[in-house]
Formats: sequence, C-alpha cells, structure tokens
Amino acid sequence: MPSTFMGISVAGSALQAQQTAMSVVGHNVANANNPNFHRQEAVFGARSAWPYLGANGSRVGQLGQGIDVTTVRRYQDQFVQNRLTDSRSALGQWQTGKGMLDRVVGVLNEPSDQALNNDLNQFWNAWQQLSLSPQNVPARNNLLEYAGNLAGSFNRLSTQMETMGRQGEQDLSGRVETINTLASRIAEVNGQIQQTLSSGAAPNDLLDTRDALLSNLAQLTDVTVRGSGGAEDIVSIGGHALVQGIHAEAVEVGKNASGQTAIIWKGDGSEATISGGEVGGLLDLTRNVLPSYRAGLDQVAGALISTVNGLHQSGYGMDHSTGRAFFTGSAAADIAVNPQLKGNPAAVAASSNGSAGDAGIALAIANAKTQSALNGATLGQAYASLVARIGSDAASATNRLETQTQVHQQLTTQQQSVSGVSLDEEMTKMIQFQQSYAASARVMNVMDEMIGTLVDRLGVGGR
Amino acid sequence: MRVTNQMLASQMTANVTGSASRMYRLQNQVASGKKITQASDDPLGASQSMNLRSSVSSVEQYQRNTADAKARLATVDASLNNLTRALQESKRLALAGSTGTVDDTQRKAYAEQLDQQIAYVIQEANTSYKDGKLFSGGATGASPIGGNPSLGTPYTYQGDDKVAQVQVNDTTTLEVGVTAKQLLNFDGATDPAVPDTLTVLTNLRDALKANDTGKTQAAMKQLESGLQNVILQRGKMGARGQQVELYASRLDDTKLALNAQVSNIEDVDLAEAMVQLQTEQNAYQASLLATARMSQSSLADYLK
Repeated sequence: MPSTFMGISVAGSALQAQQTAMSVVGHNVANANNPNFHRQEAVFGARSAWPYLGANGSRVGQLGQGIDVTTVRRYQDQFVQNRLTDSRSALGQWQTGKGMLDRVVGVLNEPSDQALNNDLNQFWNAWQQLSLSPQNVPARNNLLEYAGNLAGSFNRLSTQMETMGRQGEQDLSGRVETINTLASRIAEVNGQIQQTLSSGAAPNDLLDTRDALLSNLAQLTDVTVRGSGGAEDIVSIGGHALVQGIHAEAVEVGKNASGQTAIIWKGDGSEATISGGEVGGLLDLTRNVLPSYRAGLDQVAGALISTVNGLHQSGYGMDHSTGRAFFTGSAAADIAVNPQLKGNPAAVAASSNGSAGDAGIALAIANAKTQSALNGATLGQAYASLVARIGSDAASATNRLETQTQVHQQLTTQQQSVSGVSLDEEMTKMIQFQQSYAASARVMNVMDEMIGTLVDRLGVGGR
Repeated sequence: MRVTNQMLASQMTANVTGSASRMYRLQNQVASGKKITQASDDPLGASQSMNLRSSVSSVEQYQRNTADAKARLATVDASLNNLTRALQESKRLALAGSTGTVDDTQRKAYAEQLDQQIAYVIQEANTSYKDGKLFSGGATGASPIGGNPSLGTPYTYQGDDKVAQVQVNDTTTLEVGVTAKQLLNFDGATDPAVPDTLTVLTNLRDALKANDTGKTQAAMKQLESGLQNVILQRGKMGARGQQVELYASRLDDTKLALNAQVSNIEDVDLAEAMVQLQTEQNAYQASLLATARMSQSSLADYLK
C-alpha cells in the first residue's frame, strides 16, 4: 500500500521540477544574445517506481513516484565547434594579411601621377630635355631636382616597408602576451571544471567560458584541440602542448636557429610552429612577404643605379669632369644623387666627347628608359610588375578573407542551429512548464481535499 | 533546421552590410569614374596602366622635343635665308664690278660692299641659339668661324662635326642642324676642289680690287658653287623640318591612342556601373525591408 500522502509528494516533485525547468528557460532567455552561450535544457527523469501490491499481496504493477530534473544538458556539436576554432585561425591570419597588404598598396599609390612610376618617367624626360640644350643650367638643375625626387621616392617606399615590418614585430610581442594570458586562463577554468565535475554537477557555463577563451586563442594562432571538449583536452600549437589540464606552457618572441624572428617555447627553447591566426599572419608578413617586396624594390633601384652610373661615368660634364657616378648607394634605401653633383650642375655629364654642345650621354641615359635592364624588362616594366605582384597579393588576401568570412558565417550558423537560443522555443517551453506547474498544483489541491474528506467528514471523534 | 534569434540577427546583419559595402564600392566607382584607384583593384590592369602612363609620358616629352626641333630648324632656316641673300648679293656685286664699263673708283666701291657681305656671312655663320652657337656642331661654346685674313691668318672652322640631335620617338633620332663647315665648305667638306666660301669671297674682293679679270671670273665660278651648296643645305633643312612635322603629327595620334587605352583600363563604364548600382540599391532596400519585418515578430507578442 502506498502512503496516504504519496500523491502530495508526487505533485510536489512535479512543482519542483517545473520550477527548475523554468529557471533553465530563464537562463536561456537571459543569455539569448550571449555569443558564447550554449543553450541548456533541464532533462527530466521519472523517479523510480514503487511496486504496487494488490489486495491479495500479489504485484499488480508499479506506482510512479513523480519526477526529478536529472541533469541540465548543454547543447553542443563538438565537430562544428572544432571547425569553428580552425576557421577563426584562418580568419585572424587573413585579417592581418589584408590589413598590412592594403597599407603597402596604399603606400605605393599606383597607378597615379604622384608616385614612383611618375618620378621615374620625369627623370627620363629630364635627360631628354637636357639633350635639347645640354649647356642649359636650368635644365641641369631640373634634372638634379627630378633625380632627387626619384631617389627620395625609393628611400620613402623602402623606409615605409621597413617600418611596417618593425611594427609587425612589435605587434607580435603584444599578441604573444595575450596567448600566454589566454593559456593560463584556460588552465584555470579547467581546474574549476574539474572541481565542479567532482561535485557531480554539470559545469555548463564554465565550458562556455572555456570555449570563448579557446576561440580568442584561435584568433591569434592556429590551435589543435584533442579530446572530447572537457577539461582534460590537450590544446596544442604545432604539435606542442600549450594547455593540458591545469598546466599551461608559455611562449615568447625570439630568434630561431636561422636568426629570424620566431615564437619560442619558454619551457624548452624550441621554436613554435605557428602558421595561422594573427601571429601566423604577422610572422609570414615580417619574415617573407615584406622582405621580398623590399628585395624587388632594391633590384629596380640597383639596376637604375648601375645603368645610369655606367653611362654617366663615361661622359663629360661642362667642367670637363668625367668618371663621376650620378647616383650613390646600391639599393632603394640608400639611393641618392651624388653629392658632388648637387649644387654643381655643370658636373652632370651630358656630353660624350667633352664638347659642351654634345648630348650623347644625356640621350643614351634617356634611352635607357626603353632598354631592358632587369630580366628582359625595362626598369619601368620591372617596377610595374612588382606593383602588380603586391597588388595581386593584396587582392588575393581580400578574396581569401571574404571567403573565410563566409565559411565562418556558415559554421557559426551551424553552431547556432544546435547551441543557440530560440526565444520562440523558450516561450513555448515556458507555457508548457507554466501549465504543468498549474496542473501539478491542481493535483496537489485535489489530493489535499481527498485527505480532508478523510479527516473532516468521516466523523467528529477527536475534534 | 532550427533557427535561433542570433542566427537571424547575424544573417540579417551580414546581408545588410554586404549589400551596403557592394553599394559603397559602386558609388565610389561612379563618383570617381575610375575602376582602378589602387593596384589591388586589378593588379594586371594597374601594371598595364603604369606602362601605358610611361609611354604617354615619353610621347609628351617627344612632343616637347619636336617643338624644340621646329624652333631650332626655323632659326636655321632664317639664317640660311640670310646667308643665301648675302651670297646672291655678293654675286651681283661681283658681276657688276667685273663688267668693263665700271671705272676703278666704282670697282673699289663694289669691293668695299663685298667686304660688308663677307661680314654678313660671318655674322650669320656665328648665329647664337639658346646657350651657344648654332653652326659650330657640338662645340657650341666657340664661334664657328675663326681667323682673319687681314691679320694674316686664314679663315678656319673652329667647331666639330656633331650636329644637334633630337629624339622624336623611341627609336628615331634626327639631326636638326648643319655645321658652318658644311655650309661654307671648310676643309672641302662639300666640294674638295673649291676653297671655303669665305676665302672665295675674300679672293673675289681682292681680284676686284686688283682688277684681275681672270681671277675674278674664277672666283665667281667658285662663289656660284658655294651659293648652290647653301641652297642645297637649306633645302635639306626644309625637308628635315617636314620630317619633324610628320613625326609630331604621328606623336599626336599615338598620344590619343595611348590615352584611350589608359582610359579603357582605368575608367569605369558609367552606364554599366549605374545599372549595377541601381540593382544593388534594390537589393539593399529589400534586405532592409526583410530585416525590419523579421525583427518585429516574436511568440511573446501573442502571449497574454
């Protein structure tokens, strides 16, 4: 025989369960716009049934004893979550790449009438103009002016690219600090997750915090997470563990074996293999991309210097000087008009034989414009193809960023489809639980009346 | 698929911002008229445009060169015209002085007038242009004519053989000028059998003064040869002027064609861009409308 008050306790368990479920709904609604939140659900389980004995002592069935919230479930798809982490790394890498390359393209400012290509054309034209009246001092001064502009443009481009590289390296150390902070935070949260688990509770919100930290980490570097999404997962960079349980490693900016800027593990001093994320992007830009652009610029400047100097040294100035270099320096960073010529326009060697009216050298230098100087291309063409290379790198970074943004959007949609909060759904549940609560209360009420019948109406003895 | 509120919100935001950024790009293109404003807009087009701009810049310089060449040739032509007249006048004076009807006084007067023509010839041969002498080749610092027979030194040519050159396109350089050596047959430059024209004129004057008919006749023959040479050189320079003119008009055509190519690469097709802009505006408005509709409704509205 069940206890007289069993009905009340059954209804009581229902009231409690619906109320708990309603709290979970409230938590979901509260976090509907929290991007790191995974929706939760109160999972109901019937209490273990009680065997019901018939009048003759035979078992006739089981009596349910009500309901409990057995656990609060957290909705997540680990597969999508991992792909989202990878996608975040690629996103960080291309955001950095696009930002830097856009700046390089902006500095080049081609095609326009205010950039190096135009300075180069004006330089050649100034030699042509000098060839028309080789003794003309204003024409010589004009040439020196344009040559100075051209050298200045080379210097400026080279310096600006160098500065960008240095800024990139500075950015690296800031981001590496953030990696270390995130790693130790993850280890800390792992500890809290372990404690919660050992007390038998579901650490749902701590797991959200952990996923958010991981996502921020992935923005900075490519990470691999192995495990089932719990506190014991190994978070590693390039095969080297960064966080394992409550233990976190740290990295720092240093130099690798070949002397390049690299990210080094503080623990064993080995180089961290980072190819993605903002740090991966910055490493590629500062180590490979920017130096290759500067080398391309140096090639053009070097060929210009040797071509012009070779011709100029064979000519004669109005002051009969000969053998003088027109440009000093050997690369884009240090090309300059020979100081011996500055303020001394008569020393510009326009003449091929020493007679003042001859313009053989001026014409020869002017014609170097159309002669191949670098791998079969003229200097102008070589520079234009360098600009095209940089432009197409920037364009492809933009494309890849756009593609990656779309991929990320799709993955986020998939993730949200599983883990996101739908207010309509929560409202529906809210009505469901509200009505169940009301009904359970009604059951308790009736049960109370039934017991009341027994107590109050059966007689007046004992009153 | 389960659709959540954040999904809706982020999808709507992505749609609206995507559409807005495409519209921004098109608006920029329409407003600036350019589809390439930086190298990453179209890397290949940008490099083509840079090379074309270099060619345009060269053509503009060649145009300045041809203008300079025309001015130089005009000065040369004026000088040669004066030179021709001086030699013709000398011929007339010699002819008049060598007839039997003139007396000694008149002949001396003709000889003195001839002296003046010699001075004219020297003056024209020493014409200055810009910063130097027009007819002394590359040695523009020096007067082409040296020497003074009255002081015992014969006339000499002090310049060199390098004539001014002007480049009119990537591959063609024209000589725009002539040296006094060629004009006045110094060192037998044009006719080895005849002395230089100034010496011829001096001989003629001396023969007139001395009333030496034989020498006068011989000198007059040589003078005629000198005159024909100047006329020939003037004709050559005239032809060179026409050549420069021809190259100049070709340069004008080339520049037009190059500019058209630059425009083709850099400039936006306005009609097409406007149509695209209109289409994008419609899409933008539609996504705004959808966003507004979707964000209005919720189950909560229908609950008591």
